Amino acid sequence: MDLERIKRIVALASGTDIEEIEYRDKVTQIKLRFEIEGHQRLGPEQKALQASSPAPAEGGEVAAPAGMSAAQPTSNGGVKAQEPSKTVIVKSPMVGRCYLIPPGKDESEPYVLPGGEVRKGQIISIIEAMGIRNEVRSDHDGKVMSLLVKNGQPVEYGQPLLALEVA
Amino acid sequence: MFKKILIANRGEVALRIIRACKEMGIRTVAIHSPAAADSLHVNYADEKACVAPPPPSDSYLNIPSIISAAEITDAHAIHPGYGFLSENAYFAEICASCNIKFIGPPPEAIRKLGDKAEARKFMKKVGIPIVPGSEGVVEGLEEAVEVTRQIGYPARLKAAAGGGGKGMRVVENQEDLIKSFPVVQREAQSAFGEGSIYVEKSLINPRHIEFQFLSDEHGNVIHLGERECSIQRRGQKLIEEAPSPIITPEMRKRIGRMVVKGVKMAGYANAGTMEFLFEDGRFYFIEVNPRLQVEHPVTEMVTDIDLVKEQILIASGERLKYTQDDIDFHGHALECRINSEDYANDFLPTPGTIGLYHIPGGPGVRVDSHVRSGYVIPPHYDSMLAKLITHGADRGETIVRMKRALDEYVIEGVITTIGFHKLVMVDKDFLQGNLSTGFIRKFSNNSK
Repeated sequence: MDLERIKRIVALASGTDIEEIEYRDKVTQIKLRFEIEGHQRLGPEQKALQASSPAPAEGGEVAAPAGMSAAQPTSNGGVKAQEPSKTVIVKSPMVGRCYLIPPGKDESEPYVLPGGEVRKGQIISIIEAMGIRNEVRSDHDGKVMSLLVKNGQPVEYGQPLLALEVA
Repeated sequence: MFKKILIANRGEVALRIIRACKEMGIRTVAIHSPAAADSLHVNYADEKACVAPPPPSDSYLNIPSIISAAEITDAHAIHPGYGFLSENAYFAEICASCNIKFIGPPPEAIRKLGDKAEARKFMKKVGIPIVPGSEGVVEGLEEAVEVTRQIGYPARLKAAAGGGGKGMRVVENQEDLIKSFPVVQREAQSAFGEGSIYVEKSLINPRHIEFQFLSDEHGNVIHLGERECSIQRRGQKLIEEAPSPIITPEMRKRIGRMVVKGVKMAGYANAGTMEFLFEDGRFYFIEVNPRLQVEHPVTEMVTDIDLVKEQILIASGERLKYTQDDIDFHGHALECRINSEDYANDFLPTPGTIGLYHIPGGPGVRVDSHVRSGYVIPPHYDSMLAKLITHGADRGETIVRMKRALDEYVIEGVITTIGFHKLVMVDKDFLQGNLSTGFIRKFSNNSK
């Protein structure tokens, strides 16, 4: 990746309150993290979305914040716009078999239910790989919009597991 | 027989294995990194699994993910191809403990032959000539000096755990040896976690000749003749052929018998290659490659034996269906490795995006390649784009055919070794079969 493209990405983020950008293509992976003090980097038209938390490395955010383009840093920040909800897809961190029901429980007691609330850090599924159970935890508070896998289904790395509506 | 095989590799070798499986009615699972979901091997396979987060270079080395991918796809066997995990005894053991068949030799055989000093000792014991030098590793500098005094200079200091040109140094005299010994020791320690060194005579201008063999799990071993792989850059082969222009049928028989004996005694099963240096009419063992070789197609062309299918049959417990007497050699085969490298600039890798791509065809031409128009050459892996193989009634026809095929080959967007191969195909020494591992050096001096 050339320096110009990195500069363009930095320009995209400046003036917004994006805290972190991760970019990947076939040959490059960069992660940029911005320090935000008192939300002073709001865009001029106050239409930047308040990304309440940075995008997790594994969870792709579907709703891209608006107002990302060509926003320049100004001093009149600090006022928060209305926070519309957005969808976060929780993806599998590894290849394995996905379980939505805790070991020893039956189908009536899954980790999460569509429409149910989840808290940040809550276990939402288990991925079993080579006989080892790996917990997948939510990076966000939110509401489960839909489950994208069935209990016991094989999943590959990066496969969407569930869709969360986050504030 | 296996119903489904996972291929723990990428590129042309993954395609090669998928093709063999398809012809055998075996389902295949391809693995890939997130960025490579659209690779040809992923498209050709029946199933696929994205195995690991970036960096992509780790995808094909990620043992837990690969095993897990085999488990969830219900693959009963893993073919490692070449490179990556193909010579990893630990991976072979893990496969066995997970009830997955590793399509390659047993872990003990990989271990035994992987330590080069041990392999030397073993081959010497079974009567295979080795390059004169120390018996196994040397205890220290004093022994190294003594051994070298007997075999003569120049000599090579080599790390027992070494490979790929690392942990190796040529010394011209005793002073040089005393200076280099601790350096190689340190290099070996840091590169391989093990500082053992052995000493061997440095041959002046040897040829690289290797013997392909097949061994089943019931003690039957055959050899499939030799390949001449003297044309190398940075210790890596560029042009290979079978048979070698210098080997007589008598030599082939004699060395082949020794290879079969050594393989039998090592408790080896599956396909493998025994590599030799050849100088002044004498063979010297260097190492065993316990896997499929990049250059295996030239052997396939002159024997009509599909080595990948044989590997799969052997791993599934079948007996070899050939005896040594069944093996017939016919015609001649050449392989040119088409790499994205600038041959005029010391074979510097030239990553980029392939524009127009057109492969040659016609009688006696085979192209093993994972490349297509628009292919982005990833910087994480080696620079090989394709193997162009030609087969003809004799060496002359095979070379003319290669010339024609190189002329037909169009790869736009990056510099490749096609231009280099075209020069070699009209080189007087090459045409006369005057080859040595120093060929390229001499060649580049001539052409400059």
